[in-house]
Amino acid sequence: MSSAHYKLDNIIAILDHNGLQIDGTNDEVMNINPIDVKFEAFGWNVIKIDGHNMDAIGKAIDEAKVTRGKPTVIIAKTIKGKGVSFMENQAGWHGKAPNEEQRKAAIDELERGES
Amino acid sequence: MNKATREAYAEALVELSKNEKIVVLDADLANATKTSEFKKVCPERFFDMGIAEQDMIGTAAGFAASGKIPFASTFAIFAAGRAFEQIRNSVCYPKLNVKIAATHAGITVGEDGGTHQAIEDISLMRSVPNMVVLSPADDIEAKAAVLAAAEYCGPVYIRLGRAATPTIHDKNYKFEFRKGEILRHGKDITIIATSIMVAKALEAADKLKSEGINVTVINIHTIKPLDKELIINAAKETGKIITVEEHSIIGGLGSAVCEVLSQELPTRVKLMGLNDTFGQSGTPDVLLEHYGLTVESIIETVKSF
Repeated sequence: MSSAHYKLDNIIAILDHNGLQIDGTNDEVMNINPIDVKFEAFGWNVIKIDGHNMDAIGKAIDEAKVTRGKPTVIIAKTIKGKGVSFMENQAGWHGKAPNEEQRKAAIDELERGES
Repeated sequence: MNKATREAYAEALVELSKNEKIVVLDADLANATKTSEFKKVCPERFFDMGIAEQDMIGTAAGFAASGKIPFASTFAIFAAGRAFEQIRNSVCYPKLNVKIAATHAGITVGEDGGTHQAIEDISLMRSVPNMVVLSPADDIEAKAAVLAAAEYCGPVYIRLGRAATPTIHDKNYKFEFRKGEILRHGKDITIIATSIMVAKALEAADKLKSEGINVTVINIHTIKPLDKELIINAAKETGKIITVEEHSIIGGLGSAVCEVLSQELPTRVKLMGLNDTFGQSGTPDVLLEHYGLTVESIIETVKSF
């Protein structure tokens, strides 16, 4: 509210919108939708992107930089744990570190994914 | 003369406005906290954050991180209470130079009642690491405390009141940060008081003197860091301590005094304040009477020690 009230157009917020929280999905625990409409209602410029697309991220930031009179929020839709099969879209990994075996498997998958 | 410490705060802010680094924030209570006086002379460095105390403290932290000296004000219950976590994690944990000048502390808030009368703020604020807690006795000390807080580098909580209270210092008073002030010296018993209770302790001490009871009165304006040496010496000399505060007896000045003495020099202490009860709506004088925070009740406590 205050960012819009004070016209803080030098603020760029990035919402890592993965739909998960600690006790489960957002929908299960405490619905936050429609999150884009909420930000708009509070006077923010809203840009929605695929959070895994670097090009889209760059373009969104560029657009935010030239937006005057209101702050911008980039709602980046993401998959939490993307690239690691046993972590993708799973609540429960928020504060949990993988053990040595899991770590090896995860790094392995990510490296294979890159090639 | 009778003047509210929040009025003195306003005077100090206006004086400080010449310093470009000073910014003032409020949470929709500027006319009550008197930050409105700063707004009159310096509107471009005044920021009302609306009824959003947590946002106010977060924003103050941001200002401090950018090199400004922010003074953030609201009622003590909302400053220390509602925005506690922001004060702890956004101000004190990173040691940012934020000054929280909280007005309307204690029961002398009066008619607004128990929900608005902060009786736990000293307890809350002094338990946070890196926080300095100031509790001035009168308008002269309040102004000096605010100016001293602006000079000090680090988080400060200043406890101010709504009601006009007696001036006990003269205009040549030199505020000594962290040093307790001995206002009367007597061998029989020590009264350690803070804020509006100091004037009452003095009145009680003077009445008792005429009855042959000699009282040491100490004004503690810096609750944290506490002038431990002064307190231990008073305990050594008199052997009996009474603490008086417009605050709960749990966690405030009395508790701080007990912490020092039980570790260094176990001494019997009687704590005067709110006895684990909320305040309520009423005029300041009626409330002080009701909760036993008067000259007469101090005298009675001394005599029955």
